[in-house]
Amino acid sequence: MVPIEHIMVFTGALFCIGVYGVMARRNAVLVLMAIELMLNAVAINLVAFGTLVYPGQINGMVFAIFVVTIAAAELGLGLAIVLRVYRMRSSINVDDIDLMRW
Amino acid sequence: MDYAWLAPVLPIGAFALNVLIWRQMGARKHALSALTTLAAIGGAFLVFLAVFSDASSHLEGTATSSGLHLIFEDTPWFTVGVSPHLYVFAPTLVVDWLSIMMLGVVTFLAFLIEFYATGYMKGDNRYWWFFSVKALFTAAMLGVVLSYNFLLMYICWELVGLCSFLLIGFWYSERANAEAAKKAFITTRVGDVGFFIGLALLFIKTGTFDMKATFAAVESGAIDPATVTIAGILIFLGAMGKSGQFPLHVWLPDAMAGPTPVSALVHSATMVAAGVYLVGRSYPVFHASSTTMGVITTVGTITAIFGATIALTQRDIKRILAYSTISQLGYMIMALGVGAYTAGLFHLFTHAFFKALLFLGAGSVIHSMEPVLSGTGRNPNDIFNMGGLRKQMPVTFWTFLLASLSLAGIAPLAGFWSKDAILVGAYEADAWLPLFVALLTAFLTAFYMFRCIYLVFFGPAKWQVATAAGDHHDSHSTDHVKGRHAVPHESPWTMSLPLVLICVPAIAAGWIGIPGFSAGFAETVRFGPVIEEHINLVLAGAGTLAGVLGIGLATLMYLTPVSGPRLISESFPAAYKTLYNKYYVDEMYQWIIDHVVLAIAAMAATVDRKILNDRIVDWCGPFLQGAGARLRLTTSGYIYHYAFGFIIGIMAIGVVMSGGIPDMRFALW
Amino acid sequence: MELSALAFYVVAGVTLVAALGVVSARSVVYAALLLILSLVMTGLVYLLLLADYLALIQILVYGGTVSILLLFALMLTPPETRPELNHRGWALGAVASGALFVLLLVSSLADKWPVAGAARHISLVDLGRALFSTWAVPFEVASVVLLVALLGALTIARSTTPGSKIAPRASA
Repeated sequence: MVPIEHIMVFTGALFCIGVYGVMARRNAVLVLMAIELMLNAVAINLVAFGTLVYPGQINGMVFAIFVVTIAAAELGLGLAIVLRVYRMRSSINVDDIDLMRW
Repeated sequence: MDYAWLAPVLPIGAFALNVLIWRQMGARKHALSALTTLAAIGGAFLVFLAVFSDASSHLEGTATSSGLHLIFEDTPWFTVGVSPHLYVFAPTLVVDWLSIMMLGVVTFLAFLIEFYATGYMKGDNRYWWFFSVKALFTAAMLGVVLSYNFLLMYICWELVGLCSFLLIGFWYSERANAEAAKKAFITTRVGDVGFFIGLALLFIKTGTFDMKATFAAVESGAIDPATVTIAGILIFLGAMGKSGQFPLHVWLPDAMAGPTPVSALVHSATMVAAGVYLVGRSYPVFHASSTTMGVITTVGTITAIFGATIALTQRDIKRILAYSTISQLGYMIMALGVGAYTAGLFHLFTHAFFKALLFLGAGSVIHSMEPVLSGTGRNPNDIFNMGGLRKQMPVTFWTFLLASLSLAGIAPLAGFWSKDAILVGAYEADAWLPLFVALLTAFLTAFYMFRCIYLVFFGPAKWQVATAAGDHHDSHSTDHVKGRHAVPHESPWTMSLPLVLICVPAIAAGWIGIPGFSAGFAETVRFGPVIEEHINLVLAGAGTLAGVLGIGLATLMYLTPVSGPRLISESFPAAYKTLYNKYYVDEMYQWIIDHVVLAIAAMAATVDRKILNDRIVDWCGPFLQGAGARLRLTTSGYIYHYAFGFIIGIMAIGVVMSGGIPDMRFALW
Repeated sequence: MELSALAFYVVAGVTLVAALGVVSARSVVYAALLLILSLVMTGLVYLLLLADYLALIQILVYGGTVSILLLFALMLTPPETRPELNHRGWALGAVASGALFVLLLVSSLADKWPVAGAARHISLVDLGRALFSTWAVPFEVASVVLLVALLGALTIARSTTPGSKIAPRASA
């Protein structure tokens, strides 16, 4: 198997792509997709450490399962909010949603 | 003797009961609080008796470390700091002969004066508050007496000052009284600041407020002599403020604005003696430095003669007594300064009784003059408005005469023995100037006391003329003016009984210190080894002669119809005016306040207004407004702006936690 | 180079390319499809890391449910006539993520991580045992979280909410 550093670089890149997506995208659904990328990067990292650095230990995998669970819940809620916002403002562009502005 | 702590706790309990519970009781609160206070102080007196009998069989007499019984020495009170700079404070109380003596004086006099006050204060609509404060005062005073920890003592010391303030300004609706209270508080504060700084100095050097440890450090030379001197003088400043020593005496005559029982207890017998007591208690600190002792002697000597000369010309009976008190306190301080430890405290002991008696007598006189002179606009305290009262007020007259004789130092009354002890002490210390001043003061004391007696109790009844002139021109109808009882009369029994009772110690208190006969005092309250005292017949004779001469001069000038006083005052107008105006000390202070203190205050006010306010405070608001207006723009409402800040922040935290860029190991792993 | 390593680099590369596509695609539908690809590839990474159960879940949950959910959301929220998918602040995002990537890169490569022994396969039985003994409480909490999310999603997305201030049709 590959060295752990390579996996870390891979997941780091995936995470940063997610960050870029969150910050650059206008469409709220695309923002949610980018968040999924970030979550996945973290989950891969957990599993990789569990398998390669602490072989035989199960915690990394368990954490990953929880991450998947939370991701599912988060996505469900996020999409519900998106739908709601769309119904209110007929738009899901995040730069139209500036209620918290000065 | 471990129950001595009860003595201050009982009155403070009475105070709490009065102000927390009896206060709600409507009209009954007056009687209830008077009873509670009396009972508590009576209880404290019983505690004294028990401690006294215990101590007689158990305690060696000395003021140094071996003859002490300490209570709560190891009880933690509070701690400050962490080890190795951990300071543990214990509320140590001391039972030795000095504190037992003061315990007796305070509780005995407080009880009788409280009893007297039940009559004197009758009808006052803050009767209950008077007794509450008196209870608090007694507790605080006993605290001062018993504490063996400078901090505890300082707390009680300030409480005593507070009570004094409340009692002087008891009738605060009159502006002069409120001013007098304020003056007393502020003047003593000047001394107390010195006291506090002195304590702080000692604390810095020893790391403790415990007197035992402090004295041990001073005696072993662990503290450098310069610090001991400075700390001693600073602590003595506190004693000066409390005991009305020149130049901090100005508050004491004005303090006579309070009710007379207050003057008797607080401002003559006990509180003002606290300064002398402090000097006696902290004697190791003073004794270690000859400079400090010199300062003490000088201040005491100046005060003794200073107070006595002013008392010569005063017209207000209570002010005469006040200046007499100042003079006598100077006497004690002087004795302590020349090293006559026992003599100074012995005089404190005897003086408390006869001076309290004098004040109670004066109160009795004023009490009976007030209804006579009311409505005439004449001052009931003015001795030139009295006269011939010995027929109307026999009890008051005889007790007052007795106390005056005692004060004048006529054998075998109490004052003679203590005054003689001081003279002997000054002689043996080769302190010739203090000795001369002491004799002169004794002469003056006898003179002004008998001037007072002759004007009050002998001669024509000037109050009669006064009432007649005030209302009708017919002197026979004075008894019926407005149906009022317009002749002075003896005070009620509640007031005259304490007068008679205090006579006993005023006569006999000195006998416990007669050299060769019963030297109980010299053996118990002492500093260092027992000194075999003996009567110096020359000095005793000189002291008595001074007293007799003073009495004789007063008799010549005031009893016989020679116009002596006027002659003298008119031949030496400058001297008379200086004395009558109390050496212009008050005027001098006023000038200093007007020209120095107020000038500094005006400068400070300018700095405050122009710089602090106009520049700094006024600038704050606009600055924050402007900053807010700019910072507001950062909340753009765009998620990516927030996310950007968030990620930068996370990265910063990561860099910090990893301990820097080169080695990126995360600290938490 | 052993086979599994080669497989990993291929899979990782595809995942990254797909992810880049997700954040840069010009069409939301393409983005969604590329996301599905990326997620499935992630499942393969799990498989290579000997976590076969997790790989299964990944493909089922993400490849199935999540993608369907996303597509539904896209369908229910028709884009504007001329969709501009990136907004003006995209450069800011690029700077932030670039800087973060540099930091992660440096911190990943700055130190040698201990690799202890050979990777071992963990059986489904062990996983189940751990989930229901050591991790029982977090597991139950996670189920509650799911329930709450379900109810919350229902409440928020319901078409009309009487008395609610943010329901335009109710107030209209």
